[in-house]
Amino acid sequence: MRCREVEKQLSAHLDGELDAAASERITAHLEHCEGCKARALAYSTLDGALDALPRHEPSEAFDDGFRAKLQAARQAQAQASLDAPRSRRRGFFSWPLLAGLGGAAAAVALAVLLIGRSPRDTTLPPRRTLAAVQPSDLALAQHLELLQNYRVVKNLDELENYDVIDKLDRLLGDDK
Amino acid sequence: MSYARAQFGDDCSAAEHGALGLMGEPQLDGDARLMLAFQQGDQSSFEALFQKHKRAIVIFASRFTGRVDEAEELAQEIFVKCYLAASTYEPRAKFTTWLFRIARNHCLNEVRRPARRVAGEPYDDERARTAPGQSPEAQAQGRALSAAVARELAALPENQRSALLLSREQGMSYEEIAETMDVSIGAVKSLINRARKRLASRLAKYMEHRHAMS
Ligand SMILES: [Zn+2]
Repeated sequence: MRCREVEKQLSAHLDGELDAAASERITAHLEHCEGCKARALAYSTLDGALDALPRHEPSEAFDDGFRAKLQAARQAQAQASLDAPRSRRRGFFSWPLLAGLGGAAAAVALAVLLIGRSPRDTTLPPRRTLAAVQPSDLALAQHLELLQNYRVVKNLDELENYDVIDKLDRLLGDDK
Repeated sequence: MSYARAQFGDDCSAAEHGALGLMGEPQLDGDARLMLAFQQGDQSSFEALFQKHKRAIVIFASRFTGRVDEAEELAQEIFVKCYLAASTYEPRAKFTTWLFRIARNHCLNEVRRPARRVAGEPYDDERARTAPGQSPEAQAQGRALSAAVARELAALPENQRSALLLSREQGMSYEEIAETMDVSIGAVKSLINRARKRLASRLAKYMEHRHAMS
């Protein structure tokens, strides 16, 4: 086995990703090649240094921060849905049904629709209150920020199914 | 008690939904069952996934960006995206590959932004771990090495950095990394090898110190 080939396979060897025969050939090479042995040692030392890096523990405020962002995101969705021109809403939910529900309840239903559920699910899930949907000034400020943030959601496009994101974009009037 | 807390205080049992998922699809792992339960409306299942994976996502974000100060906010946003995009998850994919796909994408968008949101120190080497009982010199060298490693890691080409982090930090197999990054296994092999080669070369002077000390 040549050094060049060993160099190409070395990480996979160290990570246990080679089959037994290939790994044995590399082990045998490392026994008599000082250059490749030094490289293997350097990679192992590097791994040790990577493993020794400090790991940042989530702070106590982490969970609340997430929940606040999530709540704001869901409010923004619900609000954007209610604010969107009626024509935009057609096609992915039944407006007459929601029209009978009143503001907050409709917002809950919209949030539920937007979050997306499996197709076999035909009833609303037992999601609790979305009582906080009354937009205060603070919530409006959050909406603005979120509307900006939700441009970012579009960049999830590596995922396989973007129906939710697509609906979000349409609701936010970003049809480009 | 805030609304958000009440929302997650749902008594609707994750275990119950998980068991239903298990009957339907016995091959699913715990995370996949939780995601299915969440897709069916069980908030507590998402909470369980959030609690289980939040630390890994915070660490990934801090390593990826090289910015401890931004990591929590990025991680929170990643989980918001997961929540909102939950319907796109299909249980044939491992949950962590789906989660880290979103995480990588979000961090990538962040580092590509023309104006990063925080203008702070990229890496605080006082945070670096030191072994008790080491001499002050050895501790200082350990901190310098950690700071240099974090800096060089953050300076790697993004795909090399992602592949290496998913391997070293998450313990993913090359196959799982390939799925997360949507590349071939051969590409993962090459990315990780190039990452190690470049880091070993750039960090050689620190690591020689290390050899000399040990
Ligand atoms: Zn050799």
